[in-house]
Amino acid sequence: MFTIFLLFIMTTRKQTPSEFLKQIIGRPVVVKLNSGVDYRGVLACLDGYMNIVLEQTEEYVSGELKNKYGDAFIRGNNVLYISTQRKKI
Amino acid sequence: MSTTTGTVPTVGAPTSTTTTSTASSSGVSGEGVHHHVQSASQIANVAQLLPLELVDKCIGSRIHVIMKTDKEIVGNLLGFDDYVNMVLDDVTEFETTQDGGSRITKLDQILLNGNHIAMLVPGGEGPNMGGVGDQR
Repeated sequence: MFTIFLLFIMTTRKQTPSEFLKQIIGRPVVVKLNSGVDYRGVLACLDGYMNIVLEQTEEYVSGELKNKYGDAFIRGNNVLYISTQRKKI
Repeated sequence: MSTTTGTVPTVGAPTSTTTTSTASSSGVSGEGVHHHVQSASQIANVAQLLPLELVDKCIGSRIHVIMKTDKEIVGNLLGFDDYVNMVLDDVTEFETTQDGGSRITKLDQILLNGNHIAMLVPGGEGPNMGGVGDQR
């Protein structure tokens, strides 16, 4: 019973991360890696493994800008989180 | 919904070990998650709370995520998936090392990779919020 209930919940909930991923394409994002390095750029595309392609990327190590890349590919296993940036008015 | 409030429930569906591997998922992380629904005693304990049910109850409320490293994240839980990748809102990130203790507040939404989550605390407010904390 509970298995079925939980399966139902999980199938409806399963959409949330993949929905999120579809919504944020094209937005400026912050990608933090396990190592703590931060990358800010415009999200070009990504996939279910959290592999990410960023454009106009800036690399922040310990809060300091270290590098700028035109295009950057990040392998998904390194990704800690992907965050969108809300524009403050 | 099955909220059995009864005596000895003779449940029709066998509650032995069932492996429900949810394949055909989006494969967000490389790992597969197998849910073993195993009742220790098949007589009592029908109303057990599964871990993911608990997480599901948290949706819409504040949750405190503790990572395997010295990092904690607090936010509103919007959703999660089979691998407990989580979508959070209004997020504050805490580095709980002895020297740092930095708080990085991010707004909007984040997708947190479930690979590195160690613990989830429903309704938690994060480390050292509230004043009565140990001082190092």
